[in-house]
Amino acid sequence: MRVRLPLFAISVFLAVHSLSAKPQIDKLTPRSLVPGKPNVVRIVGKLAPKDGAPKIWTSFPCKVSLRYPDEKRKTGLVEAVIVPQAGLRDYGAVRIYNREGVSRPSMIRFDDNPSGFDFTASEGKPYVHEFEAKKGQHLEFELFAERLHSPLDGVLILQDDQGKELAFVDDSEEIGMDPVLRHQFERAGKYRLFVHDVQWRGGIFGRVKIRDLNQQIAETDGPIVVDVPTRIAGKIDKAGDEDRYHFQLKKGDYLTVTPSGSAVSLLDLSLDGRRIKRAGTGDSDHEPLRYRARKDGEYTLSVRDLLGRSDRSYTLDIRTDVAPFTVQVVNKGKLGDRYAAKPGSQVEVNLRCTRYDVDVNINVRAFGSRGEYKCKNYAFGQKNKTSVNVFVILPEDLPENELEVLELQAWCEVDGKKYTAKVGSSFLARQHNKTISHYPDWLDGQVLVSVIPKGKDKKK
Amino acid sequence: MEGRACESSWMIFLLAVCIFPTALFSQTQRIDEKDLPIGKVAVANLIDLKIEPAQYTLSGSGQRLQLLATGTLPNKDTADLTRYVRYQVVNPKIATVNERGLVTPKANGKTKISISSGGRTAAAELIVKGMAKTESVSFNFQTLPALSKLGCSQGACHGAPHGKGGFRLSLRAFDPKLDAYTVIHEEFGRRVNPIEPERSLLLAKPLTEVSHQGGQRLKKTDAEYQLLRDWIAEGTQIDADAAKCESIRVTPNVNTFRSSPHHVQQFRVEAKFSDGSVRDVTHLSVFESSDENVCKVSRHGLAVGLKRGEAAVIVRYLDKITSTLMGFVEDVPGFVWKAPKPENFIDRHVQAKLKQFRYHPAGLASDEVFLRRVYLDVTGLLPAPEKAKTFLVDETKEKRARLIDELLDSPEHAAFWATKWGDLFRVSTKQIGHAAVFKYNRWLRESVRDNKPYDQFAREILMATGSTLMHPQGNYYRTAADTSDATETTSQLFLGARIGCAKCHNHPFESWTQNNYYGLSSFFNQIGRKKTNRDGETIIYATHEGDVRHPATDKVMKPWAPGGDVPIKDGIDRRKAFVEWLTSTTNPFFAKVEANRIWAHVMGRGIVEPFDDFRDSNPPANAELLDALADDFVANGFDRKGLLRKILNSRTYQASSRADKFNREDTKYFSRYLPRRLTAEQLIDALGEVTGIREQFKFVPKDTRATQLPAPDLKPQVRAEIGDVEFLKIFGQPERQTACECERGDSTSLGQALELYNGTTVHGMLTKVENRIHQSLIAKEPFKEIIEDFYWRSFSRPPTERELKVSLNYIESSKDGANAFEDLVWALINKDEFLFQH
Repeated sequence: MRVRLPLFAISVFLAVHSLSAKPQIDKLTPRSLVPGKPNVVRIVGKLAPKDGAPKIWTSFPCKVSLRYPDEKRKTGLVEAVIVPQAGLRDYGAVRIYNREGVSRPSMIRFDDNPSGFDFTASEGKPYVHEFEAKKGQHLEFELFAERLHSPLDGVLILQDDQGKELAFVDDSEEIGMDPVLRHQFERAGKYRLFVHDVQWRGGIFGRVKIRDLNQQIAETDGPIVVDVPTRIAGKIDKAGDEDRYHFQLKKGDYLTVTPSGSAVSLLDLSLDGRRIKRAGTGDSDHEPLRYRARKDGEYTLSVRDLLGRSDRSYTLDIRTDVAPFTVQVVNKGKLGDRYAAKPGSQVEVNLRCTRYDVDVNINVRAFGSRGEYKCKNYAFGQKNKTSVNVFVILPEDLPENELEVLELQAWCEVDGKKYTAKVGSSFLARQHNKTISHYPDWLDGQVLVSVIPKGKDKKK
Repeated sequence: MEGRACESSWMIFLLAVCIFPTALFSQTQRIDEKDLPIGKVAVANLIDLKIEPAQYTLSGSGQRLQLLATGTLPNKDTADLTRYVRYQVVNPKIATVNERGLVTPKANGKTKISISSGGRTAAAELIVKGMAKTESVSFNFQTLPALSKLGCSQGACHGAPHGKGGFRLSLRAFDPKLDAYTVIHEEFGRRVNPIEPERSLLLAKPLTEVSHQGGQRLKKTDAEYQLLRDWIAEGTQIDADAAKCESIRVTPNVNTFRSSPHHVQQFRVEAKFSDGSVRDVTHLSVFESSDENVCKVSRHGLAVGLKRGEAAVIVRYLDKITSTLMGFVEDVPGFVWKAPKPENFIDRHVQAKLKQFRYHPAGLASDEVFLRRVYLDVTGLLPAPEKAKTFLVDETKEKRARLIDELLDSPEHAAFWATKWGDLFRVSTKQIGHAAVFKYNRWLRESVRDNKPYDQFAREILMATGSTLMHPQGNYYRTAADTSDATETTSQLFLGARIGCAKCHNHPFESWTQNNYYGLSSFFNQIGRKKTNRDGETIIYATHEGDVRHPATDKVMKPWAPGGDVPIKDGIDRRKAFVEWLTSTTNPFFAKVEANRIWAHVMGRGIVEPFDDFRDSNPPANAELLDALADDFVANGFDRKGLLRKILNSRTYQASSRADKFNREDTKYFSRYLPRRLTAEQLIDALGEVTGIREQFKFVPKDTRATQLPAPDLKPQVRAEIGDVEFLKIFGQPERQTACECERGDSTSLGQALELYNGTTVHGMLTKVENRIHQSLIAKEPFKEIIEDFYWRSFSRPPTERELKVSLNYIESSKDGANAFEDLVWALINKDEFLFQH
C-alpha cells in the first residue's frame, strides 16, 4: 500500500500534465499538399486540450478547418482540412498552439502532382515500398527528408523481385543530403525500394516523390545582368571554367555578393588585376563575399566551382544596399524556441552583432501584430559593439493565449546612407532540429512570444 | 583491468610505433668479437683466395684500411677468411696490419700486403702518403662519427630531442654546427679540457671515471679514445670548410650467404666525399643487425651468424645509412629435401627458400581444417554445419578452388575485408562522425565487392574531392586532417614507410631525410578542407596555392617522391602528379606493399613484417616471393581478389599448421601455416554462432555481425551500454585512432582468460534459455545429436569416438542436463582448436 499510493499519485500527475502542456506534433501526414485544393492532414501528437483546443498556424495563406475523431476528449489526433492558396510552391510549415505554447514547425511541401509515399523509418530496419514497373519505364525516386527538416539521412536501394540490388544512392550532388535514384527498368515486373536512415535510426519521417521521367519538361535559365544591384543566374558548363563579371563601385560602397545554387562558389574580387578579396573557402555552404570599396573603379568578380566541377548552376545576388552587419538572436527563450510574456510586459532578447568594416551604432526595432513596439536598450554602441540585451515592450491590448510573432530589425547609418537588416533567429530555429542547414525566410527572423494571461506566472 | 588498459591502447600503440624501433636500435650494445660465438675453423685446401681492395692509397695518419679476404672452398662455396688468413706486410715500416685485417699507416711509401691460407696466397698493393705533414683530427669526419659509434648521439642517449643529463647532441650527428657548439662552448666549455685532455668530461664520462648514467661506453684502449683525446689536445678544431660526405658504400653489398661453419662475414665501408675523395671509414662506422636472433655484428663490422636465416646488416656513418642482406645456412642432421608438387609460383618461391634454409614444407591441411581456415580468412565467420558436412563428403578434386571462388564472391567477404580497410582509414565516429562511418564503410564494401583495381582504389582515395558525405572516400583527408598527417598516413599505407621521424630530423634508421619528408609533404599541402552547415560534412578541394618550407632552411620544397623530384604544371592538383607516380606499374613500393598486406592477412605474417613497415633494415623474409607476388599483381591490373585467390589456392596457404622436427624452428619462411588467435570480432561472432545467441549491436540492423560493423564506436555517447562490447576491446579490437595495423591487438592477456572463463558475454550466451543448448533440450533432441552439432559448429568436424564417449558420459551422469551441456560447450569454446585459426 505504501508503494502503491505514490505510484498512483505520479500517474495522476502525469495524466493531468499531459492534458496541460505545450502541444506537440508527433506525426503529420501527408507531407505533400496540393495548392488550391482541400487536403486532409492527419496530425497525431499531444494536443493538450485542457489548455484550450489547439489552433493551427501555417506559414502560408490557406483556409483551415479542424475535425477531432474523438470529439469528446479532443486528444491524440486531429484532422485538418487545409486548402492552401493556389499557386504556392516549395515548402511551408504547420504548427499547433494553445495558451501553453506552440509546437515545433512541421514542414510540408506543395506539389501539384503528389505521387509517392510518406513513411516513418524503423530502427535497424528499412522501409520497403513495393511497386510494379513497365519495361523501359524511367522512374525517379526523390527523397524529401532534410528539406522537410527531418533528421533522416536517407539511403535508397532498388532491388528486383529476386533481391538483386539494381541501384543504390546516398547523398545527391544536386540536392545534398536527400538522395535521388533514377532507374530505367529493363523488364516489366515487381520491384522493391528500400529506404532507411544511413545510421539506421528509427522514428523519423520522410517522403519519397516518384516521377515518371519520360514526362518531364526541361527548364530554362534566366537572363544575365552585370549592373549593381543585380541578380545573376549562371552556369559553369565545363570543369574548371571561370565566369567573370565587371561592375562599378564607388568609394565607401559596401559590396555584398551572396551565392546560391548547386555550385560551391569560389568568389574572387579583383581590382586592377589584383585579387583583393576571396570568399568560398570558409566554414559555410554559400558564404557571401563582403567588401567595402576603398576607391572608385571597375571591379571584377570571378566565380568558379570550388571543386572544379562541370554543369553547376549558381546565382549571385550582387548588392551594395545590404547592411554591413548581421544581427542574430542568440539566447534560448525560457520555453524552448519561444518566449512567454504578459501583455504590457517586456521580452528580453539577447542579440549578437557581427560587423563588416562598420563602426557606427547599430539600432534595433521590433514589429508585431500591432505595428512597431517600443524597445529599451536597443543600440549596439561603442561599449557594447557586438552584444546587447534588447527589451521589447508588448502592447497592453494584446489578446491573451495567442501567439505573437515579433520581427526584429537592425539598422545603422553610414555616410548618410541607411542600412537595414532583419534580425536572424536561426539559433531559435535550430532548437527545432539540428539538421537544418537552410532556413526559409519566414522561419529565420521570427521571434515567437506566447501571450500569457495577466494573472499567470509565465514560468508555469 | 586488462580491458581498461586496452581502451587507451591507441596511445600506447602510437608511442610504440615511435619508440619501438628507437628502442630496438638505439640501445645498441657494445659488441666485441670476444662476445660472439666465432668458432675456430680449420681452412682446408682452397680453390681460390682473394684480397680486397687489391690496390689502395692511404692519405694521412688518421686514415685506416679494412682488408677483406675471401676464399673459395672445395665445394665452390665462398667464405670470409679475413680473420683466418696470415697477413704479411712486405715493408713493415710503411704500415702494419692487425689480426682483423685493419691496416694502419706508419710512413710514406709503397708496399705489398700478402695473405695466405689453405695453400693459396694473394696480395694487395698499398701506397701511403701525406704522413709528413701534421694532420689534425677532423671534427666532422672523425670526432662526430666516433661519438656516434660510441652511441653518444643515439636516440636513447644524448641524441634524444632534449638530450640526457643536460647534454644534447643532434641525432646521429645530423647537425654538426649544433654539436660543435654543445661540445666545445656550452656549460662554459667544461666538457673539453685542451690543457689536460684526459680530464675532459667528454672522455671521463664514457670511461665512467665520473658518474655516467649511460654506463661505460669507452675504454682507453679503443681507437675512439685516442681519436677524441687527440682532437681535444689539438685545441678542438672545427674543419668547417671540409668536404661533405655524400654517400657510403658497404662491401660486400650484394646478398651474401655463408654456410656453417664459415658463418662469419667482415664488412668494409667506404665514404665518398664532395671533393671526390673516397676514404675507408669502416673503423668509424656503426653496425647493427635487423635480427639479432639470426646474426650479430661486432663494432668492427664482423657479422656472425647465430642460426639459419637472413638479417639485414645496417651500416651508418654520420647521417648516411646503407644496408645489405646476410644469409646463414647450416646443415641439419637427417634433413633430406622433399616437397610436394607446387600448385603455383607461390609454392615454387616458398619451397626454394625452405630448401635453402633446410626446412621441410608441411603437408596439406585436412579438409575440415582448410574449410574452417578459409571461411575465417575470407569471411571472418565459421562455416555452418551443413556447409561443412557437404564440403567434407564432396570428393571432387576442385572442391577447394570452388569454395574459394564462392567465398570471394560472397557479401560477407566484402563486409569483412571492408573492416580491415576501416581499421587503416580510421573509420570511427570519433574521427568522422556517425553518418560518415556508414557511408565510408559502404564505399569500402563496394570497392571490395566490385574488386575495384587497387590503383583505382588508391586514386579515388587520394584524389578525393567534394563533400565527405557524398564522396565518403574524402574522409581520408578528414582523419588525415593536416599536411603532416596526410603525408605520413599516405606514406605508411601506400608506400609502407613510416616516415614520421623525418619530420624533425633525418630518419635515424633509414635513408629518409628531412628534405624527403617535406618534399613528399608538398603533394599534400594544397588540400583545402571546408566545413559546411551540414553536420559532419567537410568539403575537400584543391587550393592550388601554398608551398611547403623546410623548417630549418626556410627553403621552398619541390614536390618529391622516392626516385627524385616530380615535375608539376601550374594549376594542376599536385595530388594528381603523386597519384600518377604512385600507381605507375613501375613504382617499386605500391604493388609490393599491397601484395604483402594481402599475404599477411591470410598467412598471419607478412613477408615483410610488420607488414606496413618496409625499410632496408627490415628486409623481406623471401624477397623473390614478394617480387613475384607484386609482379603478378601488376600484370593482372592490380586485381586484389585475383591475388588473394592465388594465395588461397597455393599449397603454402593450405599447408598444415602441425610442425615436424625439420620446420619447428621456422617462424618466417612459411614452411607451415602459423596458427593465430581469432580476432575480437571473429571470436564474438563465432561464439554467437555456436551458442545461437548473437551479440546484438545498436544502430545497425538486427543480427549484424561484429566482423561487419562499420565502426567500433557506434554508441560512444551511451556510456551505460559500452560494457557489452568490452569483450571486443579486451580481445584487441582497435579504436581506429592511428593508421597503423599494429593498433589491432593480437596478444593474449589475463583479461581475455577471465572473459572466456566467466565473462558477462560468454556467461550470457551459455545460460540464456533462448540459446541453442536450451532450445535443443526443450525440443528433446537426442544428446548424441546435440553433442555432434556443437562439434560441427565449433570445429567444422564431428567429434571423435573418444570425444563423443567422454561427452555423453558427462551429460548422462549429470543431474542437470542443461547445466552439463553448458559445461560441455564452455569446454569446447575454451579449446585452442576453437580459439585459434589453425
